[in-house]
Amino acid sequence: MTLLAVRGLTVRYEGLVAVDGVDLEVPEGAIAGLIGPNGAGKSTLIDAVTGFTPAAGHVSLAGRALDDLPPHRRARAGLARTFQSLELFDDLTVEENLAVAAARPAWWGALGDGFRPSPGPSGAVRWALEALEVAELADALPSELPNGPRHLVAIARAVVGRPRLVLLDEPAAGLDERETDLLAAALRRLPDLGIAVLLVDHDMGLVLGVCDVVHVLDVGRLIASGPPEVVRADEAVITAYLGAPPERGDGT
Amino acid sequence: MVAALGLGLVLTYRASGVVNFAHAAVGAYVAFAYYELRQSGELVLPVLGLPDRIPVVERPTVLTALVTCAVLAAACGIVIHTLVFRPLRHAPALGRVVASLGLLLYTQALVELRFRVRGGTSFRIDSMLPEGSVRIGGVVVFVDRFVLAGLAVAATAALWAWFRFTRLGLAIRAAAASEKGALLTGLAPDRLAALSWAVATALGGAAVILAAPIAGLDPGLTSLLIVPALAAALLGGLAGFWATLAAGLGIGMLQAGISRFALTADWLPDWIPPGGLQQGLPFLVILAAMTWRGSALPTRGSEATERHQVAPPVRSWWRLPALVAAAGTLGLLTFSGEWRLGLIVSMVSAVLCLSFVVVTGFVGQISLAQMAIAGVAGFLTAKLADGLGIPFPFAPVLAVLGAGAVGVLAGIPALRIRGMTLAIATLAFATTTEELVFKSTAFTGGLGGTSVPEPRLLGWNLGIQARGDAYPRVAFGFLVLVTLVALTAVALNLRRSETGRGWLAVRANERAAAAAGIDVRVAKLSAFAWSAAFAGVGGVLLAYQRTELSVQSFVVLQSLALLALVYVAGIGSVAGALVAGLLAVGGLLTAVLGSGGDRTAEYQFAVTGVALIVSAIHNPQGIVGALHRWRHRRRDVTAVTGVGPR
Repeated sequence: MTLLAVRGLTVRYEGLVAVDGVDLEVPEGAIAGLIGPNGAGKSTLIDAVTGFTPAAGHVSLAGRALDDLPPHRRARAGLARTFQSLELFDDLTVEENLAVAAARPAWWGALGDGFRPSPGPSGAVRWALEALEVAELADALPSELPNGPRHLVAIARAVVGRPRLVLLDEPAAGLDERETDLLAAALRRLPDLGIAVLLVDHDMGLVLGVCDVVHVLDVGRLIASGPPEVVRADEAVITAYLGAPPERGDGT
Repeated sequence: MVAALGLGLVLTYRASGVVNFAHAAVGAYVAFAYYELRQSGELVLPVLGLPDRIPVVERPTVLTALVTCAVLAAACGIVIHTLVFRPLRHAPALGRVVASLGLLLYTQALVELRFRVRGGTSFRIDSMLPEGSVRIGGVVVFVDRFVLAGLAVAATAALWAWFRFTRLGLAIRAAAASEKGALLTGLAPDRLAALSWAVATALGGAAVILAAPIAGLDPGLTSLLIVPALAAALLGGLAGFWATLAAGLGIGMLQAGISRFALTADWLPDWIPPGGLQQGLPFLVILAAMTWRGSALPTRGSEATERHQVAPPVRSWWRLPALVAAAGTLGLLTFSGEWRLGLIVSMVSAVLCLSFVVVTGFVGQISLAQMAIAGVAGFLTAKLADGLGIPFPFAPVLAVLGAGAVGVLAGIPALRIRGMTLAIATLAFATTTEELVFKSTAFTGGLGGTSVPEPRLLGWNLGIQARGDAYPRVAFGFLVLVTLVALTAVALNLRRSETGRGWLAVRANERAAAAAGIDVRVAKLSAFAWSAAFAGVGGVLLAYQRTELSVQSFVVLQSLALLALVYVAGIGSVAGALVAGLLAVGGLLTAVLGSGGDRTAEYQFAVTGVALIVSAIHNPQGIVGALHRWRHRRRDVTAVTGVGPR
C-alpha cells in the first residue's frame, strides 16, 4: 500500500528548476532509496516534501494531503526527517534532544512550565534510544559523541515521535565501514517498528544493499525507479550517475 | 544626515561584516571635537587616561579644523577596526553586537566626560552652509537642507564609483566575499578593511558636523540617530549605496512630512506627544517592511551555524534560589546606606537581566526592547495605582500582564527576521515606544514625571522611602529579594521544562526544531512573552525603587548596557543574570568600589564599554560559561567516560 505519494513536485529557485515534476511513491513498511549525482536535487526534494521549501505539486501521507502544512505540522503528521549536517541541539543532552522531538506541547503549556515544569515523554525516548541501540548515550552531550553514534542519535530523534515515514538525508556521510554496517543494521530494523524509510545517500553499497526500491534523480528529473538490481542495470542510470558499473555495489 | 550615516554603516558592513551600533556615537564625538577645536583651538583626544586635550593652533579656520578632524576620525576608524572588530571577524553575531555596544557606551561616556559642562554643552554651533530659504510650490524649503542632500548624493556617487571602478574598491569587494581568496590573490584584506573603516568614520563625523546646526548636537540624542541610519542601511539591504541613500532621504522626508501633518491636523488625539509621530511612525513602517521581507524559516545554507554561549543543564530548581535567598537576606540585614541600596539595585537589575537570559540566552533572539517593556510596566503600575486606586499586589500584576502582551507584540518581527536584523528591529520598536508612549504626557506625565505610590500590603509598608539611615528601607529590600528568588526559580523551571528544551532547540537550529515538530512561532512568542513578564516585574520594582518615573527612567541605552552585561556574565544561564546584576551600574559593585564624585556613572559606563569589548574578544563564553567549562573539564579528567571526545 502506498504510504508517501509525491505527484508532480516542482521546485524553482529564481528561474532555475531544481526539481522538475517528480512523481514518487514509498510503500508502507518499505525502505526506499533516492540517489543521484551531486546537484541532482535530492536535498531539495526532501526539503520540498517536508515543507521547508515552497513547491508546486502534491504530497500526501497515507492518503492525507500535506500540501498546505508548515514543516512542524508535517512532522507531527508522521513525516520525520534528518539533516545532512545532523543538526543535533548542542546544549541539550541526547535524551533531551529526543524529548524535544517526542513532545507535542500545546502553546499554553509554556505558561505553566515556569511553575510546574512538565516532565516530558520518557517512555518514547527510552523506546527510540533502545531501537537505535544508543541507550547508554542518554546523558551525553552531542558534541562529546563520535561521528557514528551522532548519526544514530539523529535518526533516533527523527523516529522518537513514531512517524509513519522518516526521510534520511545522507545518514552515512563521513562514516567508516564498520559504522556504516551498524547504520545499515539499524535501518533494516525500522520497517518492523512500523516506520518506512526514504534514504538519500552517496554510498551505493548502503543504498543498493538495504533498499527495497530505488529512485534515481538527475538534474531534477526522475530517470529511473525500481528494485536495486534493475536500477543498477539501467542504461540511463549508468550514464548519468554511476559512470561505470559500481565497484562497491555488491557488498553488504 | 541619516543617509550619510547609513552609508558609513554599509561601508563598514561590506568591509568587515559588522553592523556598527556605535557609528553615530563616534560621529558625534568627532563633531564635538570639531566644534571644540573651532572654539578653543584644542583637540580633545578620545582615550581616557591620556591627557585630555592638546593645543593645535591658536585660531583654527574652518578648513584646518575640518582636515584635523577628518584625520582624527580616520585614525579612530583604523583603531576601532584594529583593536575591536578585526579580532572579532569570526565571532558570533551576538559577540559583535556586544562589542559595538561596548564601543557605543564608551564613546558616549567619553563625550559626556570630556565635553559636557553642567547644564548642557557650552559652545556655539555656527553653520558653514549657505542660509536662506526658497519657496517651492508653497512650501518653504531651506537651502542648507538642499546642500546637505546634495552632499549626501555626492558622497554616495563617490563611494559607488570608488567601489565600482578602482582596483582598490574591487579588492575590498573581493575581500568581503572571500577573505581567504583575497589573501591568495595577494591582497591584504586587513588593510582594505581598515581603510574602509577610516573612510566610514570620517564620513560619519562629517555628516554630524555638517548637520549639527540643523539637528543639534547632544551626546545621547546624536548617538541614537543610529536607529534611523540603521533602518536606512537595512532597507538598502546593507549592500547598496544608492538604495541606502534613497532610503535615508526617504526617512528624512517622511519625518518632515509627518511633522507638518501633525502640526496641522487638529483631530489627532491629545495623548500623542509632539514630535512622537514624526520620530515613531517611520520606524513602524520600517518594522513592517523588514518583517514582510523576512521568511518564516531560514532557507537551507543561509543559516550560518551560530556558536552560542553554553546554556548549562539545570539539575535542581531550588539550590540557586536558596543561595540567592540566603545571601540576599544576609546582605540586607548587615549592609546599610550605600551598600544596601547597591544590593537592592543589583537585585532589581538581576530581574531585568533574567528577561535577557530568557529571550536572548535561551531562544537566541536578540532583543533590545526589554527596557521599553519594563517601562510600560513601570508606568502602568503608577497609572493603575495612582490614577485608578488599584491596591498593591493587583496593580503590578496587571502591569506585568500588560508588559507580557507588549512583549508578544515586540516579538512579532522575530517570526520572520533574525540575528542582527532582529536586534535592529527591536531597537526600532523600543525607540517607537519611547517616542510615542513614554513622551506622551497623558500616559507618563511627560517631562515632569509621575510619582509611584508606595506598595502596601495589609497595611504593611513595603516602600523604599525613609528618612536618614533607614533609607533604603529593609522591607523594600525583602520585597525585591522575594521577587528575585521566585523569578530565579521560575527561570530555572522554564529551562528544564518541555518549553525550555524547545527554546534551546530553536536557538540551535530553527529548521531542525521545526523538523522535530516544534512550532517555532509559538516557541519564539512564548519566550518573548515570558521575557517581557520578567522585564515587566523588573520595571515595576524599578518604579517602586525610584518612586518617581520620568521619560529618562527607561531609555534604550539601558537595554543595550544590560544586554551587554548579561553577555559578559553569561547569557545562557540563570546564574549569569545574577552575576550581571552584581556588576550593574549603581549596583553592589558600584557601592563597593565607592562613589568617586558625581561622575561615577559615566566612568563606569566607559569602563563597562571597554570591559565588554575585551570580554567579547577574549571570553566569548561569559563568566558563568567559563566557570562551567572549567568545572566540566575537571569532571572529565576525574571521571572515566565511556565515550571519547570527537
